[in-house]
Amino acid sequence: MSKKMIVLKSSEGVSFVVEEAVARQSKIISFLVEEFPDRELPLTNMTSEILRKTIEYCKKHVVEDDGGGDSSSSSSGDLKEWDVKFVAEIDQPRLMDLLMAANYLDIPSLLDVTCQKVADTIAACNDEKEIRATFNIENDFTEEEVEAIRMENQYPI
Amino acid sequence: MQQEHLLWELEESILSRIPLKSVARFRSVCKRWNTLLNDLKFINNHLARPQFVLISESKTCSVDVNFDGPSIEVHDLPSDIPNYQHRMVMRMHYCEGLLIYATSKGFGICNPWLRRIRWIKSKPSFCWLIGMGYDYSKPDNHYKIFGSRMNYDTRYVNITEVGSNAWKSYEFSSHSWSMVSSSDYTISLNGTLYWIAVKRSARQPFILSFDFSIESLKPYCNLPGKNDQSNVRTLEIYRRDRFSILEQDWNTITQGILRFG
Repeated sequence: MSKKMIVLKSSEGVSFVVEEAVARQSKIISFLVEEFPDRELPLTNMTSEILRKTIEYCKKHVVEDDGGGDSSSSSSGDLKEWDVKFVAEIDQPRLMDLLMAANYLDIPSLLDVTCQKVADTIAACNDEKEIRATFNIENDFTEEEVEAIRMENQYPI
Repeated sequence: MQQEHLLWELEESILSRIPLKSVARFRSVCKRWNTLLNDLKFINNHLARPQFVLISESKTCSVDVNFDGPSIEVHDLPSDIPNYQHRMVMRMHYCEGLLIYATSKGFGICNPWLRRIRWIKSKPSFCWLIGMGYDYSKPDNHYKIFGSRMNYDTRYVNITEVGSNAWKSYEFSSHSWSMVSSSDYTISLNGTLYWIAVKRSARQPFILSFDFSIESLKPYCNLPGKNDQSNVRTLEIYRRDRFSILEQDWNTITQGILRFG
């Protein structure tokens, strides 16, 4: 029996033909294919690049239904290693886009690895200036307020 | 941009993954982060893990317990206080997650979560009964350390303010009560300290409290029975807002638990 395929369309109008089992890791897509079978699904807020990355992740994580529930622990270890490499290769702005995509499509495991990667990046920053620069966060404190927080932080609270 | 708003939603999830030790230095990134990282609910939900503190002869360790593993993580608590020697710590007190070491030269306030210690020099007088609390009527907890010592037959109480870099210490005498040897410690509940004491005149055991908002001693309630130094009584907090006393009568070897509050 041939596998059931569905079509996902990026914001640039590029169509991606994906196995349904792969795409169903997204709870949103899973819901949509049941509601609207045989329809291509437009993902207007996702670029082709991000959609391609998301599909790459889902392909790797799809659970093959081969009847035998005998998945070895080493494969889950390999998968973790693959995840780490997967997010390590993505630059900062695209990582944020991918995190947003995982949130929008509701893919919990992808959301988890991207959130973790962002958290690691934050933790690796030396100070608040580096964080603001990396994540494009506006500093809404006055000099005095920052100084007050710095003073408070000197004491264990 | 629309995408940036989406990120705000995910912020809590991301910040909850940051190691606890790093959290404090990220408060000054922006107002939103400051609010989130200061929010006790956020801290309790995401950052604080069950933990206990282990004190051995040579060092003090915090032990984080992870129930998912289950596993434990042991960390040495810092002792980088001037001229510190482990045996200098003579008394220890616990108040809302902070540990207070009393030494003959001052106090150390340790945050076992952040594994940081702050050293407070005080004048060299050693208090056997110590505790830390705060003025619950004020919004931000300005901690104060209570110490009580005997000098001949006069009992002195001294208070050290922890809120700023300027340490204030003052002392007053107090005659009407004495300590119970089996329960020579204070417990801290909502900023106020409580301990078991004995009224000198009637030899009546009772719970004495120190209210930091009015900075004075207040009898809380009498305990049943006469003071018998050989009876053992221990005071603890029960279900976060009540007290519980375990009492063992030495003559009849019976134990009882009293709950109230």
